[in-house]
Amino acid sequence: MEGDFNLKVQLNSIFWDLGYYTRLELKLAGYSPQKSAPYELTDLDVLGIRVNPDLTFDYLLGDCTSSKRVTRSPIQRVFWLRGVMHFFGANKGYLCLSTKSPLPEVQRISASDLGVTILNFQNLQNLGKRTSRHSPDLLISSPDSWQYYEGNLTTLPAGMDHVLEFRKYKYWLTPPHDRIHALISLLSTHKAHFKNPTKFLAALSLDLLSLLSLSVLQMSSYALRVNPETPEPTLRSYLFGGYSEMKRREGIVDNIKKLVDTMTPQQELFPSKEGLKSLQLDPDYLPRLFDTAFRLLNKPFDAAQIPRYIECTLFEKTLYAGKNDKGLKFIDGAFSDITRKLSRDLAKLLSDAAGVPPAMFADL
Amino acid sequence: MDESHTERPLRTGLRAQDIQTSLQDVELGPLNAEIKNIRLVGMATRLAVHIRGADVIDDYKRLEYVSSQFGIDSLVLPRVLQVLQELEWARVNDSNGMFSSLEENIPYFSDVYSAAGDYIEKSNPSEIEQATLHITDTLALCPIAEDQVRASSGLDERAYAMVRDLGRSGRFIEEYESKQTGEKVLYSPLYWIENPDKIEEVFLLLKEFGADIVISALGSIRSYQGLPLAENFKEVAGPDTPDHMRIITEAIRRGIILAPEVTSHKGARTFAFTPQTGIPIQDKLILEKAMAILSCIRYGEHFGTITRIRFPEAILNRLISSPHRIGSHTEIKRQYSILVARGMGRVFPDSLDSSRHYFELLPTEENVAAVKLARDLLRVGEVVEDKGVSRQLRDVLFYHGTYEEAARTIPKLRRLAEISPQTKETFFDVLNDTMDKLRGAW
Repeated sequence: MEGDFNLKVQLNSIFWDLGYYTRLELKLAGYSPQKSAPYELTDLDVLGIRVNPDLTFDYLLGDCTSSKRVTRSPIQRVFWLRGVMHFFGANKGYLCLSTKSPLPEVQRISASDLGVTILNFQNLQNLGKRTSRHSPDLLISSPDSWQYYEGNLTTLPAGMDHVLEFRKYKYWLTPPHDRIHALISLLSTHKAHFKNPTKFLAALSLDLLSLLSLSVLQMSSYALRVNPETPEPTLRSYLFGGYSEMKRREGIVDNIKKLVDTMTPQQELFPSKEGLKSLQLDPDYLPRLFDTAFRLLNKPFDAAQIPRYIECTLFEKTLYAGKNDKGLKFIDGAFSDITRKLSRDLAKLLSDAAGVPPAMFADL
Repeated sequence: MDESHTERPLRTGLRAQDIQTSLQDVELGPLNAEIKNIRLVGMATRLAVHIRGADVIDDYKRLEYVSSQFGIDSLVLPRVLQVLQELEWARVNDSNGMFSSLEENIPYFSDVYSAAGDYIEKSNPSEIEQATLHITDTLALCPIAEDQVRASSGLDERAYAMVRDLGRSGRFIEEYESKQTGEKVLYSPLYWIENPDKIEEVFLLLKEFGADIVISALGSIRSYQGLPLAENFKEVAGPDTPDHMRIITEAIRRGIILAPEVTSHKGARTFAFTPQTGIPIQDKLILEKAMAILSCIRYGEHFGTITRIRFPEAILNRLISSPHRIGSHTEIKRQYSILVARGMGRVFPDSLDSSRHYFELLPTEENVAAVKLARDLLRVGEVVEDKGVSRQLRDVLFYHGTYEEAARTIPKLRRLAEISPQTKETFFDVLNDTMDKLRGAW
């Protein structure tokens, strides 16, 4: 519904002004043995992710509704939102109602105890005024921009369905340490679709890059807490899901090599001796990934702003070609040279690892 | 052990930096043209290891200053930056044709020297350059008779004289006259301490066994620093012992090869190291500590009784980072006792099982540097991490306010090249011939 959508964008702008990187309309889904496609469980209207200078993450969730049933007694919805907050590790959420009616104080108090603030229409407008900083100048705060972007993504070739699904829900269901490879591998499989750069493909590439930046920041965050001075082994064990999981996977690769080595009668079925060397757990992009993660942990203030820089660039430069002067001015003033440089490092990593043309990231 | 295909670019890259570092303050004159590829890549590598971590450099003057300390003239700097870009280690941003910023992307976790070496090999190096790299790398391993160097290089008199002039000018190839035979022996002061007795010992070893096999034996140790030797290897070495082993045994007897001993559950074992690791002579103590650490680990790798070490580098990484501790294990107490005896750390029992012990490194700057060097010896056979890094110069780039101060405190002296009469004559001939042709001669 359009009313709901406007509320979502409004809440999204508030999150942005509070310093969060934002995502609109995510879906949470699960997998079952009975169905090959993911089974949609619920959706989430607004997600804010703030990366702090010590590379810890804050999550802020927003749910917007015009449902009369919820408006009459929002507390049921608050309990649901608390569950979604738990899924994301968030301790703060907003429930936005399109009603102008006053809300029962007792429900507001109970919601507050659960970390949820209930906002009616007037509360939302006033919160917007109180927190307003840059978003009124930015295209990210315009419902039209969001509709233009999301609407045009659906016009991409059918072969891109998997990529769009990943962006909407698979990314959020994938364990954090697996997201980097899942994203690179998926893009690598679909690189042919990116051969001829278009505005919306470039916007999608930046969107995926922002997701990659979150994942690499999570990896850096782990190394910063565990072993920032000699991070290589820590980063590697993170990528493979922990030390014992890494050893387990290495053992499997070793066994495969041994099997292939001993199967001389049908050697032609397997790669050559030279090719066998490629039977290794580590992907080729690993050293560059570690370099990038290490650079992020060494410049945490600048690195923390990368997802927001990419998101802002997507709207201001890629979708609207820099026509909003205030938006360009904001980008110039708000993000450091190092934030931009690190974003370009991530773009190069993704471009080299997945084979996506560098032109997709030219606006960074 | 033969040098593998992966080792060759690495050695080329390492030697290029060594050569450039040696030549950076020498006014080479006409010799400059003969070795420009090596110098350019050597400059790029040296600059790279200093700017790594800066991310963005927008002060070109500061960059020019730091570069000038590595012999990179401001006129040459754009070419060096181009090499960095071709290696994908940097992006240079221009604004209206003027330098705006440099974004560095120098790898931390992959080896810069292999990439640099690969770049040189693909850049069509001249005959002189190839020979200079080859000779420098051979001399990094051991001194060798000049006649053999000349013969193995395959160079004619003119070209060989140029390589010698380059080496002598940069003082990375020097000569020594054998007291016993009067023959000229070439050695590199970069890798060999200027100790005439030791050079004489090596030379006599070469005479006795032949240069090729001695180089091969030393190369096998460089490829696997901390090579475990057979028990009682000194006693059992006889005429039936393979040549490699006899040479190694003899080299240990003469003090050419360093061989720390570790004693644990399988008795005393000795581990061989080549002494020429590329670390400055003043850091010899760090080298000794590094060899002791790696020997302990090699013991666990080859002679562990219950569980053998499978990932030696992982152990070194754990010693480098806090809490600098490994264990607990039943063999640690004896296996690491030489480190305790050197005051490098302590061994203490596991509170849950008194038969098992931990080893904890005392994390002094010197001890951590020694573990890092041990890791380089394990990976490459010589120092790689922070090779040739001047922290003072790096600070100029990384911190504000030290630029002028550094400019005052780091004097630069340029030496003149030592050009032999033969080389001078060659250049004079070329010059005369060129002028003659310009004047219209055929």
